[in-house]
Amino acid sequence: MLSVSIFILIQFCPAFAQEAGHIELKCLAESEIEVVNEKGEKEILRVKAAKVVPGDEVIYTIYYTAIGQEPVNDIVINNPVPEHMVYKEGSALGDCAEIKFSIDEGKSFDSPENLKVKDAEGNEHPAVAKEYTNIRWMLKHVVKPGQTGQVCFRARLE
Amino acid sequence: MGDKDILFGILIFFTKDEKGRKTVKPWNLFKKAAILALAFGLMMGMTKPVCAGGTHSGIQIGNMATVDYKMNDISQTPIESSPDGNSTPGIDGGESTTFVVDNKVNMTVITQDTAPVLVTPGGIGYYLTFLITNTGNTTQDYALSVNAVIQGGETKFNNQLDAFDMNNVRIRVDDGDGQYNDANDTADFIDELAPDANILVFIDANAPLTTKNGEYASYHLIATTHNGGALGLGALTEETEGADNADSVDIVFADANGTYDRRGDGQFSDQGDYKCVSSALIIIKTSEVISDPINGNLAPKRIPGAVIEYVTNIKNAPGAGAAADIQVSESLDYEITEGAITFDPDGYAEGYGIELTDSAGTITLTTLKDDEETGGDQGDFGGISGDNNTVTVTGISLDGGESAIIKFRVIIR
Repeated sequence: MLSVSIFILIQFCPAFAQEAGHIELKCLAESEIEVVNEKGEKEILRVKAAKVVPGDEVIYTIYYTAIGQEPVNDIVINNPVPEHMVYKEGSALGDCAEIKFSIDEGKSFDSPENLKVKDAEGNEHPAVAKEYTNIRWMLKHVVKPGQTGQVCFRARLE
Repeated sequence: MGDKDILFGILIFFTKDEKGRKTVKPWNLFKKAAILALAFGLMMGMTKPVCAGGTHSGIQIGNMATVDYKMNDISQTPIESSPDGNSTPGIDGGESTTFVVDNKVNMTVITQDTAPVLVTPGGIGYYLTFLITNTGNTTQDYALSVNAVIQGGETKFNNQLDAFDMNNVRIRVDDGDGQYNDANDTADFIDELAPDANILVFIDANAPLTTKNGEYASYHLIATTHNGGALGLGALTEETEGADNADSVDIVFADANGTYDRRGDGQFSDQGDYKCVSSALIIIKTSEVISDPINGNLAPKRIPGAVIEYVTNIKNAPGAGAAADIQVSESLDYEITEGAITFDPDGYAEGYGIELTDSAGTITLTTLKDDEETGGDQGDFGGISGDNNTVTVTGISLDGGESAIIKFRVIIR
């Protein structure tokens, strides 16, 4: 009952509304389609992920923008691999970012070569992309006010 | 997520799961309740969200990133992503970027016969067997149709050409027992076939009397996707055209081409064959002069008193079906009544006027007269009442490639 009361206060009392942070974070899900342009050439376009069936690949792009008056640093973006989707090996990108992966729901992260899983018999083998549960980008640079950047990855719908 | 977690989620209107995923807006109580019910249903095995055909259609896939950062080296409250951009710190500040899994229409039709189904002219109830599998991600109905290969068209097996059509061709859907039973398998369409599920379908037909040994009749079975969701055959499933909607289930045809359909048309098909296997008897009758009263056995002539041997060779063609209970009857009534010949009752031994060489080469001499007067002997002459002056041989069985020879002798008067 106490929790419910707190929720109601947070939701409906403006005095408790949180102020905006210093980063705006935006996530887009897109698919690639092949079209023929005016020159008659085939061209790959990205469109909002709408017609997605099992086996299709979705491109997730996370845009970050420093919207405050001060620069921000030590930016860490964490993205769980969406349920029913499988991370595409080698697809995670991000300028000036150290990219690591988790195979334990985000409890720990490491480079692909260091990720090991144990099978039912207790034998250890290198983790494969479909076993990744989370992706983490650690940006090495300071983001100045108004500056925008992006990181991305691809995943396939099971 | 355990039961305790769900109860806790109800009280505080959700925390993130262990992956930090959130797919609901915090203010939408009804949506949360529905999702809770769905989650509970999934736990209880009510639905199976992933199958061999992939994630079931209608499932919403959400994604949300979270950013941690510092300002002036002081850690700030994390911010979640949203499709339009979010800067409100804290849990529930963001919104998942979502799409709904679309309906991937896919199925296979595969003949279960490994060779043509053999039929006998005039026989009934011959069936071809096909397995229809829903390899898509949505429960579907399937209309079923049959296309008879035109005469001269290619068969499924043995590189043959279609030469005839079966009669009374019907489609029957298995009732679930895995075998054809005409009385029970009465449906002619497939109702509510879940993803990964399969069912047998039969083409039942009768063989016309006119078909000949070795001829083929070939058929395509075509399954066409219809909408599932209710008892009975739903409306024809049509691929979604134009702009797609991320929040609704669009329909995408992902089927390959079968033997009688195109790729991506919501149909699949395969082909099966009937092959006629009947006996193909060839009967050759010859005669030879054995002796005459003047020349004896040396260059005898067909003169009065000459003995003439009639030889009837019955051959079943190689590869033809077995022929059983062959009966050969040859009336000599006209010739005997007119006084032209007499039957030689002792042609092969005293009292044995008919010789039969069966398929194994065994020679049997049969009596002149049927002892039982019912045709019980294999060879008779005038044995059965009303069959006077008729040579009758019964009970001959020949597999394909086998032959039998009947001989009897007459004397020219």
